[in-house]
Amino acid sequence: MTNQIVIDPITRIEGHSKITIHLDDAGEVTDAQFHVTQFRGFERIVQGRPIHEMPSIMARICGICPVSHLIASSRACDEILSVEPPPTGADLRRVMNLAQIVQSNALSFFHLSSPDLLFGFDAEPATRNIIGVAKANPQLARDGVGVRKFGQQIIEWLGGKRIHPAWVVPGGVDGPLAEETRDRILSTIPEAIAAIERALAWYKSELVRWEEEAASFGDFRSAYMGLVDADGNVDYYDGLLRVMDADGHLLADRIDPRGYREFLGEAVEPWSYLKSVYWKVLGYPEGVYRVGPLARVIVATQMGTPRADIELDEFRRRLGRVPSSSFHYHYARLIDTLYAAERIEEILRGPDILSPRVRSFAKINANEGVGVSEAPRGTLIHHYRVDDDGIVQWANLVIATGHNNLAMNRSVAQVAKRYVKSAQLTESMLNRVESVIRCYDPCLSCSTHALGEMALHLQLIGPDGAVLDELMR
Amino acid sequence: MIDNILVIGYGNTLRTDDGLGWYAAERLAGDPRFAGATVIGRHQLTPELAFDVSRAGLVVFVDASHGPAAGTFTIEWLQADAGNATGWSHILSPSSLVDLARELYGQVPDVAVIRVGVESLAFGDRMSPAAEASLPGLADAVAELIADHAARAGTVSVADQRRA
Repeated sequence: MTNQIVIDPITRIEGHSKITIHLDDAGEVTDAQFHVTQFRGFERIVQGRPIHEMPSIMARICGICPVSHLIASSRACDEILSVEPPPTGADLRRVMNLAQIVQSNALSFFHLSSPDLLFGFDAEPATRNIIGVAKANPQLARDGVGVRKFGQQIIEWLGGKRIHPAWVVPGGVDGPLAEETRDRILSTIPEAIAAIERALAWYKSELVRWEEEAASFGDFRSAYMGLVDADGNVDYYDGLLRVMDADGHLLADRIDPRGYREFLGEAVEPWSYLKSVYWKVLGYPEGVYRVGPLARVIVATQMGTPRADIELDEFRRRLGRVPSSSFHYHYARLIDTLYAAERIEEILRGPDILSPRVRSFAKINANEGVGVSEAPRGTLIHHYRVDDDGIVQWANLVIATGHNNLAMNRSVAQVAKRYVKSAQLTESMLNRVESVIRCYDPCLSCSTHALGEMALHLQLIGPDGAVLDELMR
Repeated sequence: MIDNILVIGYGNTLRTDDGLGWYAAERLAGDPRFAGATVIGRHQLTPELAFDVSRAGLVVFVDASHGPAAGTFTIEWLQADAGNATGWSHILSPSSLVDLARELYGQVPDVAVIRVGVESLAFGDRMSPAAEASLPGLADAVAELIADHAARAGTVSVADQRRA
């Protein structure tokens, strides 16, 4: 007889999902699965829409990271128009993308994960939330509010509103940067950097507490993937892909991400709406790799900004060149955030940042376009095909959370095997299973799209557990 | 003191009347009676608003509700020490947001929540006629709240009066 434990819903992540843990007759965990139970279907929704609507429609995929979709979508549209945004237009897109990374990372670290990190995974659920953090470590909570506000304000000041700004458009951005806005943003950067560095100092001082969790929270060998620039440093806007294996060897370096279908496969399973993306050479499901902050700091030669590079050096001294545990997403996320804040300042201090030339105009000049950027959770790919009138015929989205799906499932199984004992089921065991998912900061609203026909598996199960009927397509 | 007034209208403008708070914020922002006040529209209440809330003397939340009859509204003064904080992901209720402001910054404003009855929360980017028609009366009610708050300022806070 096989038993099953269900955690439904998983809390403190973006979107809806559940986890099933399968037990054998002895009550030992044999497997676990991370099910994404919501379906969005944007790849179908956009068919028949004109290409100039795509960035605004795609931004509706998510209320947390709409800017990431704006950026990737606009870049795909740039290809269809066959234009390059003017340099200032590209820089302003970069600033907004970096601000998005700051605010989303802040949400993940300070608001969703810090309660576990501050109180421990065995703490009472009633205290394990942001209000509890505010009581126990008000500076950490204030810094969380401040850092997220910093990122959100930049998006609002540039785009007119924090959620779903329409300022990023095919060909560039919709208007130049005002001097006053630049100076307002610059004035907020020192405090944001100070807050991020306080959080880093606190995290590093606490790192030893979580050695046990780090050894079982998705601790396995895998590849890592992220965008890098010509020097091999991180590039969140228009870099080339670098893939590194668990030993630090490059599986691929500076390859054009627009050819993603040559090296990335997309698989669907009947028990989840989330696609599993894999490295084709290694096959499915062996071709597991990870993306996002941890992958970015691993594959990059350096971050490319002074403070983040110091932190990256320390990260590597502490954890090695290729840490194998997904627990270290938290640490990497803070370095990632520090880099983003520093890079925003560098770009805004550029001599041409106030140039009025921010957008290129063109008609339809190609029938296909791929846009790739780094979103907070990892590499984001938008791929469109249009007819000669610019009407979308087909779209495919590869979202960061999809890249990480195989890794998340392996992580859940590992944590469940380590902590879940059916005879002594406790809340803290289940919290650890949930928490390993939070390391990846999955955005399920972003990631649940159809690959061709939606994989759907309906089961009608009787009271004795027998499958009475089922429907698959 | 109009400059210490914060009005937050929130809701989803792609779910018809659920966007009422946001539309109300847009209307108030263009109304000369609210010149000097901070009026913002939000999709949802998020933690970073705690800072703005803590700096205000009066915060007025405007939200859509299934409670009152469509087009009518209720006004509730929040108890500052209600302790309504709960586990959450990235969305806060008005009371949780106020609790967070108190914990982080040690300051709690007077807080009123206006809940406007709605007809439909279906998909759509415009409000129902009933919700639309409620906006002028809603603006008058907010103006009255602010005037009342200003009249009491300098003597005793509204929150203190309620606690007395």
